[in-house]
Amino acid sequence: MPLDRDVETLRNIPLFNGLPTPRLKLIAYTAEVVRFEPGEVIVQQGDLADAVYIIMEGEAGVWVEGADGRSMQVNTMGPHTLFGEIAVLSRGRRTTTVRAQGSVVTFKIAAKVFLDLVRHSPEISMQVMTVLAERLERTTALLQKAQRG
Amino acid sequence: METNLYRYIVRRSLRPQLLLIAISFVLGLGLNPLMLDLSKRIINSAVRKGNLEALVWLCAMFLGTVLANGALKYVKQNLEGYISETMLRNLRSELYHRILRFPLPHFRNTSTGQLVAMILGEVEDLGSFFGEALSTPAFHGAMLVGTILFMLVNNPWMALMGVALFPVQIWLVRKLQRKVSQLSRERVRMVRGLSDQIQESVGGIQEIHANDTVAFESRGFTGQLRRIFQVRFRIYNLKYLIKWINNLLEKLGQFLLLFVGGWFIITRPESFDVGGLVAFLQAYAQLNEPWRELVNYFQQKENARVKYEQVIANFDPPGLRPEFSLDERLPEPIPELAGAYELRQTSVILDGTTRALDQLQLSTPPSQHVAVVGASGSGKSTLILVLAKLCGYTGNATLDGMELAQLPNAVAGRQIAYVGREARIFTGTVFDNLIYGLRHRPPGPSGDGEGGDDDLWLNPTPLGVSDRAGLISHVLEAARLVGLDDDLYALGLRATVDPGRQPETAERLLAARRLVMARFAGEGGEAAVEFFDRGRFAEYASIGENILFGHSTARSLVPEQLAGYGHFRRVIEEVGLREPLLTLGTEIAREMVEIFKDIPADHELFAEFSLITASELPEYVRLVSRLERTGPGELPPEDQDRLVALSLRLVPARHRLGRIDEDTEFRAKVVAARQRFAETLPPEVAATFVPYDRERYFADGTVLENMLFGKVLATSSLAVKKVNAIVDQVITTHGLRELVMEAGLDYHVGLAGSRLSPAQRQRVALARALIKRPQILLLDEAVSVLEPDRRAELHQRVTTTLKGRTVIAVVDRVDLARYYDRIVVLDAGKVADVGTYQELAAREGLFRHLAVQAGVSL
Repeated sequence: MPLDRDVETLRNIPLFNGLPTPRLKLIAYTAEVVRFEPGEVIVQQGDLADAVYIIMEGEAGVWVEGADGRSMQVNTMGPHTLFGEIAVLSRGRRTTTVRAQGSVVTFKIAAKVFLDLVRHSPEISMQVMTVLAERLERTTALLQKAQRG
Repeated sequence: METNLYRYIVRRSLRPQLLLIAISFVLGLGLNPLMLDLSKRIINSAVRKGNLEALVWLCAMFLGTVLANGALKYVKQNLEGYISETMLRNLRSELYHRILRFPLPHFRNTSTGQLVAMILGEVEDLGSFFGEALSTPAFHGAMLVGTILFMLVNNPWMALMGVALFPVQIWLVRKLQRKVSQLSRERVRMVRGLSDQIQESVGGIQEIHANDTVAFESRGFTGQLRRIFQVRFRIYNLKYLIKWINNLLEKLGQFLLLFVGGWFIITRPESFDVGGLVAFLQAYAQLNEPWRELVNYFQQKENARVKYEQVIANFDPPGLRPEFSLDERLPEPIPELAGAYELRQTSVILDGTTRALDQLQLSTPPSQHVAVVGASGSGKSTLILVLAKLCGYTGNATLDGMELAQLPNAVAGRQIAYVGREARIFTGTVFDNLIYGLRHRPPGPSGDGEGGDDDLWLNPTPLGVSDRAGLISHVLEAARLVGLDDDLYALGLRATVDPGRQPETAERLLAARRLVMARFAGEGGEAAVEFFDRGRFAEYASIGENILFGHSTARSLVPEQLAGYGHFRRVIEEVGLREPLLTLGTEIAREMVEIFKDIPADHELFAEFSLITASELPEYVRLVSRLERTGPGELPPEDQDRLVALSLRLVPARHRLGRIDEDTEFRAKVVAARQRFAETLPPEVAATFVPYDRERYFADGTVLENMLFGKVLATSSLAVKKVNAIVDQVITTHGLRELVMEAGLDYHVGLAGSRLSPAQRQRVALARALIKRPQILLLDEAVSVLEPDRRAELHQRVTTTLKGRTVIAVVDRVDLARYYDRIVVLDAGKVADVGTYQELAAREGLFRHLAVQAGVSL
């Protein structure tokens, strides 16, 4: 069944690691499949965040727009990457632009559903905190390194 | 409220209670001795003298008395029921009104669940007691007295003999009963201890095995069980001892009566007779029931009293707001508030100790815009609550020279608007929430105090609006002001419009469809939409919609009812679709049960995503467990229908459920069923059925679907963008935006607004405050969940719109205060500084300090 396949995919995503199968099924079931054409913008820097995405097929580039208006690609994301959760959690705006490189199939989880999942599922809340804390630690380490060097 | 249960009962139901007592006296003191006397006479003057005529007459009288007795008892019971139910209703209503009068800080340490339990559950037991409170002691007391009187009149010595043992009985039984109650309490306590130990053992099972303490733990457990056994067995002993004593004393009484009565009859036949003895024995037997009932009653009374006092204590917090009248009419003429506040030595103490406001001094001129800033805990929110007349205070606080506490609620509620940081949204539509501030009894006699039509409780006249159209444009204007228009527009596209009720709207949307079609043809937009096409399976429509492919006013002809509809059953059988639908339904049921069985029933995910509703879930859980053992074909017909019904809800492109992904044969069968269904419709419904038609509006589709005559290919981002762009353009250029927004007003916000985002909820709350056109607007960080740039915009818009009226706002960031005439800086419940934005920004002080702390530049 297609849902079972999706559940296996979700299992590979660190945020959902260790979730019981019914929870994963719930996420897969509530997620919408959205396809993007080559070059299409998936999220636009500065837009309000309305959803979290998971790349199922294809690759997407992460771009940051500088103050001078020039864009610079800072990263490439492959299948099974989850993105857009920061802006959703902070109820803020997108901090980067993500653009499809080639055809991309995503899972789109509406912000409200994602927040709901975080709020009502202690496992997900813990995972979100762990992932965010790790990221913070990494950024702090980078900053310290930059300061020293 | 009366603190004493009996005072409450007497005050609230004196008249029916008096009637009840009167009936009880007639029964106990009148009819009861009469019946005893008649049975004595039947034996003495009829049977023993062989007088047939007297026998017939006396028996007829006896029968009449029995009937009268029964009839009166029936009346009495109904009257008791009436008193119980009326008083229960009044008590609940009174308690609910008390909740509405609670001082706001009291809600911080009150659990809603507890209030609900008390009003719904605990009060229930009191209800039945209300009816019996006076009538039971009156009735059974009268029975007792009446019977004893009868005995005294007939033979005082024997009567004394009959009741001689009562005091002994009372004393003994009460003593034993007390012991039983005490043991029962002990039993409850011990059982709790037992449950604690079970929990401990389960939680600590690893430790128990790791330390090999199984024997130790079991010893403890069996020890507790033994003690519980001892207590329980003693209760058992005592209960039967009481029963034995009661029985013994009763029989002893009978023995005395028989012995003494017999003695009298044999030795002094002139003073006593057989009839008298029989009636005496009958009377004696009758003494027992009222006696038992009275003992019972005194126990119940004790329970009811404790319960009543507990409930009442919970509904009588200190600082209860003054009683309000539901009929409060506006004073004439309505004083127009100017908004000059004058606070002198105003203090508010929360939770008994915290001084939220500490002898605060503040005066604000009328029609001014004032921002309030301060660190958290400085008393900002409390100040706004006091100004809104939502929080009690000590000292003086006047508005336009009138003490706030004296200001009529009718005036405050209409002319002062308050928006707090937590937007409170009620279950209902967006429109219901927006016009909540206008829910007042309109002038005139319409609308009563209880229930009634909500629409009657809407009074837009103070706004200068007379009809619904005017009200809606007023509402939409406020929605635009707070930035809710885009949300309403998006909701409106997903809403449905009933062409029966709004033919004009439907006609205009239909005209828009043609324009959209023309644009599609020109711009290659057709690839973005799946148009309704009789010959093709629609991937973005549900299976049910696919088969019905049209709509009807007949109730059986909606996708939700289809599975149980005879004609539909025949059609799917004929085209060979029954088996595939059953299989599909089975698969969906399994998945849904697995996904949703642990989701709380009131959860938004349920309503928004599940193909089975929360109330259907148990039914499907049962079905799925049955399907473990049998095939779907062997289920009873109604269960098969359930599975088919479920399969009809599936939208193949949306729900990745079931193995129909590449199944072209299944799709062909669905299309065949669609055609056959429409062609062979029974004549009685055929006339009501309209297949999807490019030239007609269809009521069950959303506004967007109607404009497209199909469904967007939602899985393609490009398609969605293209369709949105074209539809937006057509709507904007043809002035349909208002229409769509109006449809969006009917969007149901879910339980307490759960289907709205926090930002949408705040916007709705703000619009609600503006819609009633308040003279005074009080805001407490009312836009705090919006994005920072939007917050500034809103403060600016609100202050511009309310020029000439009073606005007092707690702003969550000091730089937002720039839109206000004056700024009040609070610190520890006192005013620390007052001035204009420029003044405060220029001088060293708390205002600048707050800005630095928040990291904002002034």
